[in-house]
Amino acid sequence: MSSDEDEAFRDFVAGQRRALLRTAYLLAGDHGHAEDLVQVALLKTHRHWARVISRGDPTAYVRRVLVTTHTSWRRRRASTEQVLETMPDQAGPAVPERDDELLHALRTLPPRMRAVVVLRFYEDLSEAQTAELMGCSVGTVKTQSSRAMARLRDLLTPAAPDRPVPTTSRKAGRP
Amino acid sequence: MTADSTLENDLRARLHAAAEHGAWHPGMGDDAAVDDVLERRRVQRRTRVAVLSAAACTALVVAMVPLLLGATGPAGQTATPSAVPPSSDGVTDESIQAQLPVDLLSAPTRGSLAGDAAYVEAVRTADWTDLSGGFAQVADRRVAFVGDVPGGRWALVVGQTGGRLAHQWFTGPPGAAAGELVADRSGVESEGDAFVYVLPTGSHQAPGSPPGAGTELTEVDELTVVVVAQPGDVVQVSDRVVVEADGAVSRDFVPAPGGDGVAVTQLPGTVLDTSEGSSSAVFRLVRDGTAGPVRTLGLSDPLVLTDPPPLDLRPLRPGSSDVSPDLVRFAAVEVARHVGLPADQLDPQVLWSGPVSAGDGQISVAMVALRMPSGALVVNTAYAVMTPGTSARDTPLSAVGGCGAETHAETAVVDDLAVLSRCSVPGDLGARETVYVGSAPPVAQEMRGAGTYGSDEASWVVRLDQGHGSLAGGEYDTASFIGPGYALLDQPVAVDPADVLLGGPR
Repeated sequence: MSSDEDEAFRDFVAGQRRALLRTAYLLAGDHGHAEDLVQVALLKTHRHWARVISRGDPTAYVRRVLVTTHTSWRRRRASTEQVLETMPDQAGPAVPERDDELLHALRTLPPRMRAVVVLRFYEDLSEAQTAELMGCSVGTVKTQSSRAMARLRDLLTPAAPDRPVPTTSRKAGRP
Repeated sequence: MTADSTLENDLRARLHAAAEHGAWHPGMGDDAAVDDVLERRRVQRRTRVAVLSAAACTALVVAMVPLLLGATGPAGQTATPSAVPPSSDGVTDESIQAQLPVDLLSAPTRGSLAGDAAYVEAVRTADWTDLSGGFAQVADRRVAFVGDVPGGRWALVVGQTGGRLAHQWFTGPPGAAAGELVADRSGVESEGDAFVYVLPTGSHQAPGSPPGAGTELTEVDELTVVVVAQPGDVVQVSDRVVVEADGAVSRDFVPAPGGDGVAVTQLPGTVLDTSEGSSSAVFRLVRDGTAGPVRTLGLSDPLVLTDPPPLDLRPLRPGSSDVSPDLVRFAAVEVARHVGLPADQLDPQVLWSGPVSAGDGQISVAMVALRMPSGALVVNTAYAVMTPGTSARDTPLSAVGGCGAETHAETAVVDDLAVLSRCSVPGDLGARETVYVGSAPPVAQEMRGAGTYGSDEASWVVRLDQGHGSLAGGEYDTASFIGPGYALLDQPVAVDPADVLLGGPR
């Protein structure tokens, strides 16, 4: 790969990595694995970088790799690791509060079902776009989405009219 | 605003808030991330060059191996353990292995090609082009398994990296040379104390195909399964739940072929749920005579999955009306996925179906009876929330759920069954409405029972219309169906199919 292509890759990462981390966090459920997931997706993308950028904006390609990597990534964490996240106690911007109930609920979904939820309701992709990205039929997306909503309905506390969205400051930290 | 849209809107808000939390982690910076990618790519390229160089020397190595190794075991037997390679990151083997769920670094290479030293070495040094299982330097790798499997030739390479065990599966066609094995697959599964790989038999990814490329998966004849655990472990596999002729439910675990902590086996493709990639099959390890927890066996590769076709069936009982074929299929598949057979091979029949009042709206309900190979019957009920202006037949599965399942002995006749299912239906603002739906032969004129309603004890009687009726609210475990010359007393309310069918973790 030429230095120009490497530089283009660096620019792309600078522009898109934060968004990829957000999606990966919802897919993986914790910061460490989200970062690993994004790194693997970027590595796979870099292997085909010249071909990817020749087709236009590489964002969709990377997102697809991110999701397919996630759906195949049945890690040993499920039974052997416990995710403990701590934030540094130092002054800085407010940190959004972690929604443990939501993250737990997402973790109970099979990887593909979780991906459908994230793509449909976080990325706001249509059923057709989700199907295209995941390489499956629209019917499969619909079914997975229905099953996911049925499960989440049982797992998530119903929204009260005055229930605040969990974006308030809990602990100081830095981005 | 409907309950569905409320849940979706709430979910959207919570996902965005949670994602913001994810973005605030003080992890690796963007430049460091790029540097890491570029460094890994340089390592990969160096490894590829090394493999090519090794290939050029293959003829010489093959000629010399018998002389260098002396009497090695024939293919199909376990090879002699070799020294654990030193870690390139300075961490001692002991400290690493103490943290590893599976101590494969000191275990011998297993599999039918374990005795082929040249082949093993070529696999050990092969390029790791997929890193979803982590990455280990070549010097830190061992071949845990290499051998012929039904429909191909597979290998599992493991390696120490920091305190973790990285691993890479390789696959190739039958008789493939080491250089023909492909590591591009993303599918990796590790269950803590075993490494598992499950693919449709004969499935191979073409070298150089892009990541995520899959195959449309509409029908799978057989699955190839490889489990690599500790030497000495016995791998037991159960391919499905069995419903006996008397309605009793069990699983049979049998030792899988392979031995010494490795299983190389096949499962019928019918065990696969093609809509999720999960299967009815499970396995467990027996170590020192003690059976470990039951683990699922699902597809390891992100193949393109498809739903089975809808079941467009006419309901049997008078007073029924047609519901969506997708709902009928949903009810049938919820049972079929446990017993490992396609729903259409279980003689599905719709006992009763139609719309039922629930809260301020309606649900469409389907009671589906399936005949097990033993002759036993399993009845499963499912609902879909109806949207105003649509019929039960046209109701989409935007909000769907189960109302419970029950088993009956082979002597049971579908027409004679009396079923009481409990549907927990989403209402406004996420509240749940409990609706009991009963169906019995038309001779039954009422169903009655007792239990609690809120904090009060309550008894109830529902007048049936052609054997059908429903009841809102309360907590009841049994019901009796009564008519002229007819009495079915204390019939248990149906429960979750996963509980009825001992499906194990999914």
